Amino acid sequence: MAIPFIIPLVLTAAGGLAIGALSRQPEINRLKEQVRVLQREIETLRKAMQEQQRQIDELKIRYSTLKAWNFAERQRTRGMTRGSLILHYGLRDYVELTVAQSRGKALEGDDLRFFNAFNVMVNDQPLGEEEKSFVKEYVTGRHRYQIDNLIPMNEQDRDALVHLVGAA
Amino acid sequence: MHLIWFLPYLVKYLIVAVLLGGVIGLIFPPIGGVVFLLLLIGGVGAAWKDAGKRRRAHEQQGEAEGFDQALRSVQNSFRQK
Repeated sequence: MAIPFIIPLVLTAAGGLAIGALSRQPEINRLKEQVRVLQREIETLRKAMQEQQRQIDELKIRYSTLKAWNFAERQRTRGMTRGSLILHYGLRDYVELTVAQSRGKALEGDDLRFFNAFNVMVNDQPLGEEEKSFVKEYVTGRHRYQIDNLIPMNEQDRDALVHLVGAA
Repeated sequence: MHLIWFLPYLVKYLIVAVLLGGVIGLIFPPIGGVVFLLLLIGGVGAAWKDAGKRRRAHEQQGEAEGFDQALRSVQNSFRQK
């Protein structure tokens, strides 16, 4: 008795799923292309991370050598190190999310908002202060321990990230 | 670090407490001391809070600078490739 009602429901659901998957396909293709670009520029990514590492190390040395009485400069340098680390871990999250999306994972909520905002930033386009603050909060929330303790990614983490892009 | 900023702020609140307590003490002598004590107690908490804000202000300013500097560096890396 219920079959005549169930069949249209099943067909509608299946159609909805198919349309949903197809509508996401251009986006997935775009992200796959982005991963291919990242793969082609894997050396650039590695160099960018090495350069970040160098800057963070330099800032950490400056911070530790500043005397306690030079408190304003010391706090500013600590803040600069934190800022560099936020971008450092932000780049990692961005690359991971790019790879995840190219494998068909749909991003939602804060992940999606972060990805879009970071994408705008690295592509040298203007980003509002609100979105910039959101990016900082998102990354700080995910890597609070490392950022508060001024710990950059180690070589293994960097290699794992490069490997992730290479294998995508 | 917090303490370095705390002391000047405490002096500020102490001056306010002495002045207000003194003025009120001249008009109503019995409550001048009480007002001074209350202002001093409140001033200790407020000075501690102000010192924290001051310390964070330097760090936040640096954080914004460090973030922008690192972002420019990443943008340049990808632009140069």
